[in-house]
Amino acid sequence: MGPHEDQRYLVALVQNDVKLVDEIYRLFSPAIRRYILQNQGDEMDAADILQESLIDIYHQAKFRGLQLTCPLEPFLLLVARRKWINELKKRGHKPVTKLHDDVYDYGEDAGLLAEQLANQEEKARILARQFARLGEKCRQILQRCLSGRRQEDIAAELGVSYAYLRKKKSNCMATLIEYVEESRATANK
Amino acid sequence: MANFDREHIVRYLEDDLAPEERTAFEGELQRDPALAAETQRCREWRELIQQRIPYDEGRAQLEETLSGMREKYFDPAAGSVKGKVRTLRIYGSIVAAAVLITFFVRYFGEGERAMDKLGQVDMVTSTARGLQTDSLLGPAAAHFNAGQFADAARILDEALNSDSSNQLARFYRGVARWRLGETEGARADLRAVYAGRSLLQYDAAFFLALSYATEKNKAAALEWLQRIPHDAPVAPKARELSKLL
Repeated sequence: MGPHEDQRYLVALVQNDVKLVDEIYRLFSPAIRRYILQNQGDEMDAADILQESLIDIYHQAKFRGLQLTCPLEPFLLLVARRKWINELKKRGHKPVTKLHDDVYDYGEDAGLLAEQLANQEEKARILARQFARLGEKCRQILQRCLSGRRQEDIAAELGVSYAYLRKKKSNCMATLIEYVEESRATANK
Repeated sequence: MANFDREHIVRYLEDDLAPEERTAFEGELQRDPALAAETQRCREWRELIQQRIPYDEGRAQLEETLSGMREKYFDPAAGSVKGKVRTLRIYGSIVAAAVLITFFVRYFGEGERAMDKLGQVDMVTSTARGLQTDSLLGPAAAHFNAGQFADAARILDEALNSDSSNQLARFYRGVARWRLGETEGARADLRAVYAGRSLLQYDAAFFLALSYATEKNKAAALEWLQRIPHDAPVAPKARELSKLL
């Protein structure tokens, strides 16, 4: 079975197709706004949640080849609802909606895709936080080495040998993995 | 699990082991399920690191589009604190509403003033930074620091025409453009500085965050603030802005 016809919206996000992104907002922003306003949020919360949801979907489409097996609307609503429930928890409010109810409301396909996205984006958030813990040198080395440029050029720029750069890159990556694993272990306790 | 640390596993994944080390490691992988599981975890994290750590131009462009859509489809005055104040004025006591409005106007006025203060920066010339001197940057700094941003931007245009790789000139032109209300041009400059990984990389991220914060686009502002490491020189200002949001 091929992807749903709404896959074009995911392609639009990856390609920054302004016309189709406008269509996403025109068609789906009213439902997101309605949900947020009915659940202790305001207009700007709705704007934030929709924007963050679309960025998360962009990441999954770009890096993990996300294939929509359902229409975009229920999937987007589920992603947004999960985000809003987490936000309410952070603010110390008790969410009215229960997540497992959503799956029955919107279908198993949308529920499964939203679950996978939430897990992956949570890992990405942990990664971003732990990356900031690395020293400046490690951050520089990882960012430069992963930019796609020739590592020989990067070694010359940093005034180190190519062999040192490769070793240091592995060392920095191992440290980062150590940090993220520690962070997840602490969160799961 | 066999005695291989994470760095060794990463070096295996990076194809950075000597042939004999690689053979030994792969032999152990076959025998040791715990090592195989650990290697798989590292492989998944490494993939995520490769995807999320480098600067993503596509994401930056999409964020720009989403910001435009946000302005088109969401009304900051509707349903927000200011909107609630307006509703109170209509349905509640006029006196009570007037008090609330005064309070919120003062509150938001202070927020905006605080953001304006955070956006104040002096242009430091290349000489002071110990970099190669550039005859155009001195006059640009004089105008910039006197608040004459149009003149500063014009001179910085010239500097960039003669050397488009000058990150110092591009950063201050971005700030000058932002001060002049030329938001799109400002963000283009600041993004280029951020992508360039220069000394001003995180200062550029901060001003990008500030440009979104002043438009009340909290999501985009926080996205940029999150890219600033806690030990960057601009981190204290980033924390202050984060609190204001």
